[in-house]
Amino acid sequence: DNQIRFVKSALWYHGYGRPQLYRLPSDGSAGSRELLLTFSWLLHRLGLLEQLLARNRVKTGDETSVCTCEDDPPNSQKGMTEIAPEYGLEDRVDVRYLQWLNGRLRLQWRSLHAQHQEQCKLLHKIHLFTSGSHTDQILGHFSVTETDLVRQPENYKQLLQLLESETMQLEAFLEWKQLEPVYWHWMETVLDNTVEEGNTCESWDAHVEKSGLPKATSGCPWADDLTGQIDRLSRDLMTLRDRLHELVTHRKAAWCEKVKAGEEELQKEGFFAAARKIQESVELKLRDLTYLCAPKSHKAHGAYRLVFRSKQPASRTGSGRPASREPVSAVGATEVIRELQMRGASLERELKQLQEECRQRLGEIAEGLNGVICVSP
Amino acid sequence: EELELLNRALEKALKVRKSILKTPLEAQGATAEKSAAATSSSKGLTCKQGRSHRTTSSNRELCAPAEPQKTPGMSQSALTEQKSFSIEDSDRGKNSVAAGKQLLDAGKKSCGFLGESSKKEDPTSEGALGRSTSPREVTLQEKGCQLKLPLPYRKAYSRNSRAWERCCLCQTSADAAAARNRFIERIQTTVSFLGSPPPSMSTRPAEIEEELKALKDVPALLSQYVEAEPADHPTLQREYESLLTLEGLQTTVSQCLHKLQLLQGDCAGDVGGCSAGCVPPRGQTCDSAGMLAVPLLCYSSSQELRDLFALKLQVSMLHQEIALQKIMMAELLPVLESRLYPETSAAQLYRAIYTQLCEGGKRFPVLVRDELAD
Repeated sequence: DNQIRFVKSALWYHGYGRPQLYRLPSDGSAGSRELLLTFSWLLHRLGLLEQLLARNRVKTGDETSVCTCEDDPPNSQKGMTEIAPEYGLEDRVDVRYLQWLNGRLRLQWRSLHAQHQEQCKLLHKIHLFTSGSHTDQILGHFSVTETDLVRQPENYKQLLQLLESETMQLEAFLEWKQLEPVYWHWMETVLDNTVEEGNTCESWDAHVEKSGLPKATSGCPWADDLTGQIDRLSRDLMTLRDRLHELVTHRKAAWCEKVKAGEEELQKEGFFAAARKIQESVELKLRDLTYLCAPKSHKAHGAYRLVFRSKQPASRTGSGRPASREPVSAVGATEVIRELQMRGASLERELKQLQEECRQRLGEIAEGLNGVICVSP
Repeated sequence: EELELLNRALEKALKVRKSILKTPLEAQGATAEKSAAATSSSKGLTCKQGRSHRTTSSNRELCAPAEPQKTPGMSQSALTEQKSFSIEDSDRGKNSVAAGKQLLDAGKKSCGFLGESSKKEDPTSEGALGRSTSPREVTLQEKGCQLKLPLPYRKAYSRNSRAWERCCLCQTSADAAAARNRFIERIQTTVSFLGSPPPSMSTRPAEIEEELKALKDVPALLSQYVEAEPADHPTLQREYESLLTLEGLQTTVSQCLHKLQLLQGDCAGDVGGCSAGCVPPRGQTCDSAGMLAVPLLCYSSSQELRDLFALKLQVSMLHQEIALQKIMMAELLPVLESRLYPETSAAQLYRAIYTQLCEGGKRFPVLVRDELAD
């Protein structure tokens, strides 16, 4: 029953519109034709086959991801307050426990950092030393798995099997692509049949109608969560808007004064001629900005294979490899580093802002404390 | 006795392999093991010439330590720090001639490159390599460019990568695409018996979340732009430019707010279709064709790789810190504000909370008792 509800909510989330599906009873006893239609819809909407192939891909390389998205679990807000007070009889926490936890966290971060650095050194060594050995010229060197494979081939029988079964899956996928027209034509006929029979079934559906469909308009947790997010974002944007409003009015006033005072000056500087150009350049600048504000997925969220390419391109291409054969897209580490730096900087600013807010509030509290003055470090 | 036999057998195997493979291995080996380093430029030339006499010299080196060497490769345990391992293992059972030819080519190609890079390796690791316990185990540094993946893996890998390529390149036939689109359209426009309109592209919950995610970064981004505009300008033109920019930013903010309102409306509209116990999954609807290739992330130096990982960790840490900060603010500040704690520990509590919230737990404020001078 839970599974069925989950499936229905997932379909709703992705925008599936056929109510007949949602009306299906929760015990899975009826509706295989509807399910077939839904499955076909999903095939297209989510690119199911491609996603499955991509997600289950056999990993032979050293992989990492580049996206900076927060991986917050869906219940992060609710989970926290439930987990916290598990200890303590009076349902209170000693702040020193908090300090200790914090210290531990930082220690873990530091050791993680050290381990990462160590891993990088080793990865680089392997990549460097095995350069020129890989049959795939684009990669050019082995990954850790492949190097170990050379050492101990007998450990990797499973990998081989996985590779081969994946190849079979890929070939099946290609066959599917050949047969695709047949499938979709067939689905159309299925849809035709349902439409024909639709009217006769309505009476039967009527009594399950109520149970399948929602009544709660205010109880939807997704909507609540989203509304909360929208509110917070609105608040931020409105503060920004007010601040900008202030700035602009102020500046505009100053500007108008200047213009009035020195009109001849402006003529001399050839100002009006340049004004047009200035407008255009500002437009350009802002167009970049609006592009950034729009939703886009130009960076894949998945895994990338790490490949070492030294900066001297001429050193290794002995066998006249055609330079343009790059069916796989490649991203340079410099770019990613730059983006990460920007992201890091903006996150730091956000953190500092929060800390500043805390400082203010604590300052107010301090005034209420008797006999104590707080001197900040 | 036994050891002697083993050593001799090993020696023979090495000699045989070396003459077949004809790799400039001795040259690399010599660099690591001998303190006098051959210059990389002349390495390519001396490779072939030096081979003959180098073979004998390194063979002698190999014979010399008659210490009990474990049977080569067999009892070797985990990967050591310098990645030393025995070549015998991997070469066993391979078609030596064919392998030899390919190795020669590979070796030649990367000879110059590797020579260069082995010179660049910091002297400490080189020294360590030279001091590796068993000379029979050759390090990855020397042999790495000549390694071969085992044949079954190579075959499987190449079949696999060709299959992936074909899948990436294959397109949906026009006929199929047309039929599919017709089908999807018809499903989407199925009229509900209750009369509520079907969800259109832009009001799907998935899309709403995506738009929201994109908008989330806007305040921070725009603030940066605002900060970037200085308060004073040398010329009138600059001032004009600045003013225009700020006005443009203002319009953008209003547009974003408007978008938010629309999203809010869509969100409310969608609730009608939401079922009571919904826990929507956060899937990603990426472009399906583009997903089939694993993209490469190319780095060009060890430093870059390390920076990359360090930055990733930093961004992740910052995310966590921000989340923690928000939660702590929500939990701790009310404690202080509500004065429910015992008076005696007020100061300590305040100090601790201040440190956590304002200084990230690193620095402590000083609390001074405010005593009126009598």
